[in-house]
Amino acid sequence: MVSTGVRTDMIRAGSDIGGTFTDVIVYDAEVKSIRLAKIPSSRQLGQAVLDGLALTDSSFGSIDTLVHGSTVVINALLERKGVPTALVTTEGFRDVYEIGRINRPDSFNIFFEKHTPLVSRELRLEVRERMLPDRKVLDLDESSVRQLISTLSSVDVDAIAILLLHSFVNPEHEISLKKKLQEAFPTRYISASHELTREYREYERTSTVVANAYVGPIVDKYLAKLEADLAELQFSGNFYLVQSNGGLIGVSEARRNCISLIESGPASGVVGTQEVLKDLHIGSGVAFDMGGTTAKAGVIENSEPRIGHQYFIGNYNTGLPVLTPVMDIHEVGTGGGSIAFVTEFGELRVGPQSAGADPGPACYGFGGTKATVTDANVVLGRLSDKLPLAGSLELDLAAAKSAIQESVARPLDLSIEQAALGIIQVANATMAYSISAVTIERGLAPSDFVLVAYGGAGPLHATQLARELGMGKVIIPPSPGVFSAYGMLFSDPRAFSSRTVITAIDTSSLKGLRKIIDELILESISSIEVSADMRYVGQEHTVSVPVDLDMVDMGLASELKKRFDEVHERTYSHSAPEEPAQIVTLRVSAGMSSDKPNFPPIPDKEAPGQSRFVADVWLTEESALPVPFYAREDLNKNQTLSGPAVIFEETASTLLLNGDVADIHPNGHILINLGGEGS
Amino acid sequence: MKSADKRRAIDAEVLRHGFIAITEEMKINLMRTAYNMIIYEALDFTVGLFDREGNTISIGLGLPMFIRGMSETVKETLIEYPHEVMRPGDIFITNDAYITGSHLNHIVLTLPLFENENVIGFTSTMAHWIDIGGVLNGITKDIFSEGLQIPICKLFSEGVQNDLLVKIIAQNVRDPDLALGDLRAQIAAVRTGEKRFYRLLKRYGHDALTFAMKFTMERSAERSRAAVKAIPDGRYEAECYMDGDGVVDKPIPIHVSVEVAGERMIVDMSGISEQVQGFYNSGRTAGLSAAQVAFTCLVDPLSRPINDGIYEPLEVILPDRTVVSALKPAAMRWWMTIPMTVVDTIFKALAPAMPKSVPAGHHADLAIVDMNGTHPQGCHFYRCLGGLIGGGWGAKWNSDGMSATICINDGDTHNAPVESMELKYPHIIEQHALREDSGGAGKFRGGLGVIQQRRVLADSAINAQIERTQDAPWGLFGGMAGSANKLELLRKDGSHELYPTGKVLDEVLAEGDAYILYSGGGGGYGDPYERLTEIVLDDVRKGYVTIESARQDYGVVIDRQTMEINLTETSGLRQGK
Repeated sequence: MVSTGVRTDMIRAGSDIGGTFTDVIVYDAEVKSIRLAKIPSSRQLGQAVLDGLALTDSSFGSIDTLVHGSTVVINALLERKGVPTALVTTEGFRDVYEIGRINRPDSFNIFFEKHTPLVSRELRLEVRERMLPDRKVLDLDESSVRQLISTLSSVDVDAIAILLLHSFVNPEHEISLKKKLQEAFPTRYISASHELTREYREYERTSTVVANAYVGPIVDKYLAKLEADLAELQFSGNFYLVQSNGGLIGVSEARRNCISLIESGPASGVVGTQEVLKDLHIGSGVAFDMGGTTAKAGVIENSEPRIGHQYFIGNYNTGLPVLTPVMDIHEVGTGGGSIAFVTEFGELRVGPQSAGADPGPACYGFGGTKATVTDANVVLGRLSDKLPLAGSLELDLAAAKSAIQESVARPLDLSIEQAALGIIQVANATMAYSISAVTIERGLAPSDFVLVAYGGAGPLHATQLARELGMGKVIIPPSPGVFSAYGMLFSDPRAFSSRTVITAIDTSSLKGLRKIIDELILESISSIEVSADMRYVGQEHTVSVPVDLDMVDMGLASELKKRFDEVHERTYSHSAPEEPAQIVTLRVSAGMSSDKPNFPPIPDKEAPGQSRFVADVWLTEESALPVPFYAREDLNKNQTLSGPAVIFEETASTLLLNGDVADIHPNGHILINLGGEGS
Repeated sequence: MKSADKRRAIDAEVLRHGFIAITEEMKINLMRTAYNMIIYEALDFTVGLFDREGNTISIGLGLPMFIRGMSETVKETLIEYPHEVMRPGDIFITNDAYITGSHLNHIVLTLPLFENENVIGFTSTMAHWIDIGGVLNGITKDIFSEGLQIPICKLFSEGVQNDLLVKIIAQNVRDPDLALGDLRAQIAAVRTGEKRFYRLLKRYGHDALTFAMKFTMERSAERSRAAVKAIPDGRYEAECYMDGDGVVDKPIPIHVSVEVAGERMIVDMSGISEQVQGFYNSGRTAGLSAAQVAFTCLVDPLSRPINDGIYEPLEVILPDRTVVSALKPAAMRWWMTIPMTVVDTIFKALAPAMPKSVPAGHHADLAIVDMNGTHPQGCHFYRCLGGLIGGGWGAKWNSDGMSATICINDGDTHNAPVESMELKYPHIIEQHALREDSGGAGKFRGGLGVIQQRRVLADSAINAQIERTQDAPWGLFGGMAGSANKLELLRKDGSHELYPTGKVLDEVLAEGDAYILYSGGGGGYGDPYERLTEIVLDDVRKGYVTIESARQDYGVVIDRQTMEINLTETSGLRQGK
């Protein structure tokens, strides 16, 4: 799909399939309205979207663009439910995939485990050929290929992954081998590493191409079924999938590069945050998503999300690496369901164990007896037991109190409220770490950012977290509980391409890069952003520096160097302007902008919303204070509220602390300026 | 505990996360900005936060074996520069090998932290520079041939850099740009820690911070005491030997004895060899580190932060002048090899007392092949650490050992990608594979070692100090030993040269010559005849174990044509045992 210009969607729909619910969101450009529905995930996608649409009074055939986020790739990888796969490598290197990087992240744990390859050793095959970075050492050996084909004929695999050394520079042998294997095995899914990534490091590329092949046939089947369902429902619009970088891709590209879909859900939340910030004319913000089991933070800097280029399936210690552009998101195991306990040595700990959905926190009344972060919020009155959670679940205050009393207050000899406040403080400290990981550790100062909080529990903790990090402003977008689906409405098709080049920075080398950038652009579409991963000569790790095409065309080497020095200084608090630097990897990201929804204005009300009730809330350990509770739907545009106060809605509650002032933006965002020590 | 202190247990937990975050950030900062591969890939560095007396509050690893280096350096610094003469903006530097316990390549920077005019703690970083001068190839026999020695002195005095010192450093190292780049990265790391510490101090105040440090250490001490108490009392001993010191052709004995009595553990290293002529010595700090690393692995491997409270129940008896408590002018360049075998020997000693906590022996060597020469393109001097390929780890009471993993001296250390090596050096790596049959047989099998074959495309000097080529990684409880480390040279004409003690000193690899490096496999655990036959078959199908070894070591007979188990012959072998 190559076209430029602006499409005009009349109706755009997003669907985010989660474990329990599918969130459906529909934007109607004509009446500028957004409607939401939650459908149990058990139904098939087409039906779920249809049902969702029915709930939103829209008709299926009228949708111009349908955007879909799916967990099919990550689930197949985490549950190891891909297809039997073979790997073919350069002779002498089939074990690279099992050897990995030899590291032991848990240095003192002698019971450590390594990653487990997706392809076992008897299905890791070799072929005679050899490239060096600058030349061919050995042609692809014909008899060795024949032998390989004969071996592959005798094994039961549905997919084949190919990794040949230095294919990131010269993919000639990979291309030719793939062609031969395709001719021999037309029904098998075959993936070669250069099609997915052109960066050096053979273990990571092997792992990437194997993961892609392993899920390829499953994604193929999933997409074919979806397309059939949609066709049956008379859908004739554009159908896109959300990539891990937040951009959209079409179905045929998704089939080839399945691995790019690995983290689509969290990415959508960051895209949504980007749009919230644009709507408010704010450049930089932290996207903070707190749910039941984890909290995640991502960063928008100067209106662009930060993208990382390596991802671990599962975790760093034992996870298989994947080289694909992914939103730079840091996750910690703290959420509303995180369990608080006291160790036998008198230490308070919160998480990472979670009460999950069943039995869930004690206050759900499903029989849970362990104290969770949500129970602490209930005990402190911040989640009022007068309000059913998610519209239907009655909160059991007594159960919450008893859980906190038994698990934390009694062992530490504290009052129930002191214990509950302690749990919240510790949870906030660990979540603050997720935010500092994406800001301070990247050389960014949190105080330069606003905090955009969403997820079921994010708005309740946001003003405290912002204080913890010295941030002055918090924003709660509309519908924070289903914000990831919301983000899908704003995604654009986007292509990323990159090439490891390792180039000195001088006028002639710089001019020589233009040819490569043009090639990368051709691989992509329009609205180009070029960046270069750069380092001082002798360093290994790089930082990403934006590149203007003028710099390249005119060979403005010293300007690019200066820009790199600045980025390095900002990121690591030192730089060496007198030292030479080099470019390692060129990256081009190309987007297509489309006519996207605005955040629709909230309806006018005759008067400012009044509080629905007043209840006692513990903000300090000394005493509870009477605090007004407002329903978000009652609030009028431009209305101002002062903390302490709680603003509740069906999917979340927002806590304003003493001194906080909240403004209701005409488009529904809650803008909170922190008072007191927070500012 | 008093009631007010109970309330402060909450602050302590919040601050515990704060301490970990400080050292994590220092670590990331240093790792990402360092110039040399030993820091950014091998993570040959450590950063830390210390209390006013130099006790460890939190360490960001780096290498486990660096667990004492910074703390001991801070304590020594305090002897020469007491609290009252330290000033904000000071940064101290040293690479005194007999303080860090290691080689001169380890540069330690220490920055005092202040509240008003009082020192209340330190940030510190110890990192490996690729070159510190000294003899390039061959073996050294004293510290003076190993490079520049920097006594404890001020690199910065109240924020002003000691330019003379920097010039002296630049004058004495082979690649000043690289060295000064790493120095800048280390300065930034201790200052990053300083900034974050002051933020915590401002937020929580001195009292809460001091309380949290104390609380963290006391809880760690309690946890350790409880774990030691669970180990049956007794005196446990083990020994093994190193190949030699590269000068005199005789093995170096390592004997340790561990006494467990109630809540205390005493590690007695008096039986370890005297210091040696060749550069395999390390200082007292390294000997203590070996005991603490073993202790952490067995007693409290997962708690964070790593702090000195953990070691409260541990006593180490270590006389001067052993090979892990060497005195000046002992040669120290290859300091790291022997202490990691000491760690393994402590595990071996404690095996009867804690059979479910210790693994069988591992390959216990970094397996480094040090090469240098002139790059034909660009004609510049290059130095390349080949090898560093990981090796097999020992099996445990319930599982096989891990294959191809870095030894206990190191932690989150990465190998260098083949593609990266071939981009930088005039080398071609012809094989990088698992070493079949190298894992010791057992009910649970030892992990496999690695083979790396590297050919040079231009003449190159080669030095290798591969150890433990004789005393192979041992098995436990009937498990067999794994294969030992091994190195051979493969000349262009096809001839092989085997180095029986793994020591290649100042050889030349001519264009077209290669080395083949084999890292050892881990020891097995339990009787190999008790290993399930179908698991042995699976190992054979995957090529981890050969048909010959299956028959000979495991008593499992597999038909080469059908690749199925011959049940009759197998049961005959296994019963006839």
